[in-house]
Amino acid sequence: MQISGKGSQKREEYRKFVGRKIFFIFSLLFVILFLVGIATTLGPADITILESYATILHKFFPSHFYVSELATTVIWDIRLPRVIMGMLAGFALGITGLVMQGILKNPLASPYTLGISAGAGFGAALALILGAGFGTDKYLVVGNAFIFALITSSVIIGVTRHRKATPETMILAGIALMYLFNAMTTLLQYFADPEEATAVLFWMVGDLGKVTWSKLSVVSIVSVCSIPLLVWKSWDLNVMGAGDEVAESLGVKVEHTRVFIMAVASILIASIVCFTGTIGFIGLVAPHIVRIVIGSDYRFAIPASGITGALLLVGADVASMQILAPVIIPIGVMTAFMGVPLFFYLIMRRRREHF
Amino acid sequence: MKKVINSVIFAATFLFINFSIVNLTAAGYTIVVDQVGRKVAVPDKVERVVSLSPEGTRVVIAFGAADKLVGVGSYSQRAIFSQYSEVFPWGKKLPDVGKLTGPNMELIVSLNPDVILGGWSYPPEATSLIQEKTGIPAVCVYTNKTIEDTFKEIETIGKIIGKEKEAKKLIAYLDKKIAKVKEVVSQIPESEKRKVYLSFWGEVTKTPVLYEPVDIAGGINAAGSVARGAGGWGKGRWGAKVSTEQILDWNPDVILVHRSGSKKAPKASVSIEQIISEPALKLTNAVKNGRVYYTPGMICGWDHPRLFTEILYMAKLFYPDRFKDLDVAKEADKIFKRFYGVGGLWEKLSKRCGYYEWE
Repeated sequence: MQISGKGSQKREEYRKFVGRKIFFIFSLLFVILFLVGIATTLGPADITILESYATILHKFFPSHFYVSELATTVIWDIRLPRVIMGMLAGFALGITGLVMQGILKNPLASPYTLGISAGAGFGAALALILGAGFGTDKYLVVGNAFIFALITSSVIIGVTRHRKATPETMILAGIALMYLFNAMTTLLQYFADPEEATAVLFWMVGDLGKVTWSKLSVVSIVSVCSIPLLVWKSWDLNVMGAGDEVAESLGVKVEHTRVFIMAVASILIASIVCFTGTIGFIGLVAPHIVRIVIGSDYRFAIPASGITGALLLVGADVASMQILAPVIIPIGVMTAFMGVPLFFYLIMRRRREHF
Repeated sequence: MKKVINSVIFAATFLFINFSIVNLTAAGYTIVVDQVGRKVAVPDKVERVVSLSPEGTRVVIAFGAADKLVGVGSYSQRAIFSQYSEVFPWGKKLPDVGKLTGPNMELIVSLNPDVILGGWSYPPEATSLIQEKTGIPAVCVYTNKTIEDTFKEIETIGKIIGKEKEAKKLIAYLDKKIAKVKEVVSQIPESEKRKVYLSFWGEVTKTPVLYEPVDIAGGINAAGSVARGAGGWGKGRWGAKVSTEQILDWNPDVILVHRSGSKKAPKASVSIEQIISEPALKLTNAVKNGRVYYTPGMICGWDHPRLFTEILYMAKLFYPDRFKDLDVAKEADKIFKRFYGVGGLWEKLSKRCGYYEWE
């Protein structure tokens, strides 16, 4: 009698815990929608808040709202792509950071520390300085960045064919590649004209302003295909958290899972980074914020980390546009400025250890 | 402790003496104040010159003193000798002493120049360091992207390499060229002035907040209201990165796209088609009226003839009716010839970069 009573009490507690996680995710969702609502009304063009929303609604109910051509261009061609890209990119960065930290069991793992961003940066530099690479004309930089980001992760995965796919092997390979690509980018910049060198620098700090609907559709398709795959693996990730041996004994093919997640996450991140440039920090910080608040059950942490990343990126983008308007502060800089204080606060008051 | 103090004092005196050797006006030396306000003792007779920045190298060539060059920086090689390789076939043979920001000091010493011409990218201390390490007087000369400093640069270099007369003549010549434009522009009422947006440095949304050729040619720089130095990269922090929405809000009458003609990476630079197809810009007056053009702009600093021809080119682009008599191609060719001694350079450049051509 007593025992079952205790059991149901535990179950009740667990239910509450899950409820709290779901509450957290939904409140984040609410905040991001609110933020997006604000972001679409902010900008140098003289458009009122009401007009902004009328312009959005006009697309769906053309007969009910009157809008100007200027407002349509500003909202639909400039502000919305930027905000949506901010959300998508933040979402993808948050998720990839989380799963990479998960499979590598390392709190420092992120697309940045694994050299994927560095590879993309080198690809972009190659296009910007030498005009060489994959893709034509305006897709030269994009194509190059994408290919080189994938080359980085293929090399990391390739290494695991010869050594066991342990976290150490993959992290060390990633860091080595990061140094290699950074060195090659520096070399290119060193011999470039000052204008070209700054072009590379500007690419490196990220930019959401170059986004168009066609680019957005590419990113959306990749996200829609790859994110469910990562969510599908969240149980395996949970089990792997208990150690490779335990996971194997429970029937999880640890190495296989590790390589699979690495590959999917890389494709996702490459498709984002090639359009936006390297936006650091979010992939590192969003997962930690989520772990500190709701723990590392991946079924909940994956969506939560994505939304946190989106929130950070859209928030940073709004700030970067407004602080020195009309001059734009690089988004990559702004994310660090906004995220670091929050991160510090959470590190100071966290109660659990996750690694 | 005493030992340490002693050696410090010794080092200090030693340095002081060393400095004085260069800085004191001995016989045969003149004190020149360079463009960052450093006083440098330069020999009266300068026969051998190492020029680190292309801006300096161009002026030395314009003075007809190219034979004094014994070594140049990498940017000079790239921005002058490979750009105009048909004019300066000898340029390739000049030793490349390396980057502006950190040249090969040993190579410079081995070339035994009388003076080193430094450039814009130097903080004064860096040039002082080169002077200290090589023991050769090093002077900062640069255009600083203003006409005033450009003339100052020509004057300073003239003083250093003993071509003061040539410098005066050259400045007078260039001054006359812009005086004509200024006169016509002064009659244009403020309300009729064209608003201009400049897309520079290979990106639609990067723009210089201060670009004098536009002002002289009678345009109003759309980004002129942006605080100078607020954005910024590169020389003198002149640029700003803005949003396409901001450009649309400025609604420029003319959009000019920087095309320096650098042989590398043409694919990665902005094209007119790109501006026209940018959905956010289709509502600007410039795109609506098809007034988007390439413009010479800068290449590794200001190329002097290009700068002055750009002023004429812009003036006619902004106000074709008021500058009916101005034959840009002919005048531009003259200016290039005045600098580099050869005709036909503007035409070649213009063809390569796709600048607007009048019938």
